[in-house]
Amino acid sequence: MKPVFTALAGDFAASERQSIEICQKAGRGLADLSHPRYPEDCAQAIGRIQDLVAARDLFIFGMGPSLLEVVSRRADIASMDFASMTLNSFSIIEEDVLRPIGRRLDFVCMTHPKVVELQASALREWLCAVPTSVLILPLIIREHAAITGGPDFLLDNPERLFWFNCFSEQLPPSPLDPLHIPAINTLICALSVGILARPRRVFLFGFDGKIEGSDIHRVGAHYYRDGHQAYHAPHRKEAEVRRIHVGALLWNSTHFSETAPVVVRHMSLLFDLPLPPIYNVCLNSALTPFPPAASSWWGRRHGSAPPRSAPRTKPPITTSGCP
Amino acid sequence: MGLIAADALERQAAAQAAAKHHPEDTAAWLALSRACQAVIDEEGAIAAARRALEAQPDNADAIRQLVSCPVLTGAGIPEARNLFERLLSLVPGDAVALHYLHYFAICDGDYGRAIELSETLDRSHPGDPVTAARIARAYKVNGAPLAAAEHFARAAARCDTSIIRFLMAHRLP
Repeated sequence: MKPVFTALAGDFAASERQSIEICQKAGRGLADLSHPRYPEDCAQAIGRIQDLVAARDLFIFGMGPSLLEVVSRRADIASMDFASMTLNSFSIIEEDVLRPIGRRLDFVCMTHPKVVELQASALREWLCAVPTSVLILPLIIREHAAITGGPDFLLDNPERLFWFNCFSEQLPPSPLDPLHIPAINTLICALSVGILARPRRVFLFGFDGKIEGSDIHRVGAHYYRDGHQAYHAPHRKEAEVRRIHVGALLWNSTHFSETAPVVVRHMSLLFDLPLPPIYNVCLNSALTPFPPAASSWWGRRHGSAPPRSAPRTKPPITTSGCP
Repeated sequence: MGLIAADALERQAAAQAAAKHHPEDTAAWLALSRACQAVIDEEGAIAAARRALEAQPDNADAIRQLVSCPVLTGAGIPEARNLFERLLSLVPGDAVALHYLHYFAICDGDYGRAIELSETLDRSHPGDPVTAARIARAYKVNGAPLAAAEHFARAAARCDTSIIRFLMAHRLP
């Protein structure tokens, strides 16, 4: 936690020194995969996700309101060479973004057993139809499956599963628990595992981190296709619930933005991996640690103005320009 | 060594039997609620906590147990807020109530109250870096970056205390 708080206090150099001190010795990462909760094949699992990404770009899709624009421009990405990842309500991304351009998801990250249960049949279909796909889950779901006896795909396909630890909201990855990701939201889990997969660059799509506009009751203001059956939480219309959700979403985004730079840095240091440039392809996102690539990214694909991207907060976690 | 004990389902079944045999016993329902939480049976945890609260409406443990369920699931926000307020009136300085009421105050945009609640928590449970960071965050979103930086620095300094060193150095269950 200390590097996170030190950076937030404004001393980025000290934060970086603390991270290096925690994560490395003599310039080498200290990731120890012998944690008793970890599966025995952790190192192989990391190798498998690296093979799957194969140093390509990694596109991570979220379900914020701006996904609507991604859907409308999905043809722009059809010919690009990328690995794809999404979170919980994954069938929405498959239906509206990827399958129409002839693709399927490579990775799905889920963090709650109820979500896995709700999506079990869709997950089973996806795992069968995409033989290289990998489902990314916290270890507590592994333990839950072990005592409840299912679902089957969590017990029978070890090579298709990637397990991470996630019990504290605060603790970044550390040498003795290098696969521990703070339980802030599913994006920070997906992104951290994404760093382990050694992509060339990471692009975040549909991560608004807040509602769109000021009308909290408008359908689609909170999430893309509010009310879609794939969402694990029921669509709530009560004013009090929606109002609290607005605040909770922004608060969660603040917590993410404060913590994510240190978490991905620790992943990189612990496992001796390069930290790839990470871009947020969402205009006006509340997730602030990554350079916005929105106007530049889509614009370039339409031949318009050159990219204009700059980190919005210190410290920038990338140094290269926007692609 | 895991977060879910290998015999968690058996414990849940035993707690279920005990609650059934002693339906007026608040402790039995609380034990069942916790046993359900241990196997991520949220509906069961909420139902059992409600029975505990019905048996003893002013039992702070029962309120604490019930409110920890709907907040986690996000399903009972208005009810949870009222229960946290009630818990705080029953147990002034209650850490769980202060923790979650801070969260609700932030969601309301009432940053002054959020700071006040966490400062109360900081006095009753001193030395926690997370509490200092929560105060800092409230100052930050309230447009007071200098105060925020000061409290984040305090949070960082608190990470050097022995308990945090212990947490960082040892594997947690």
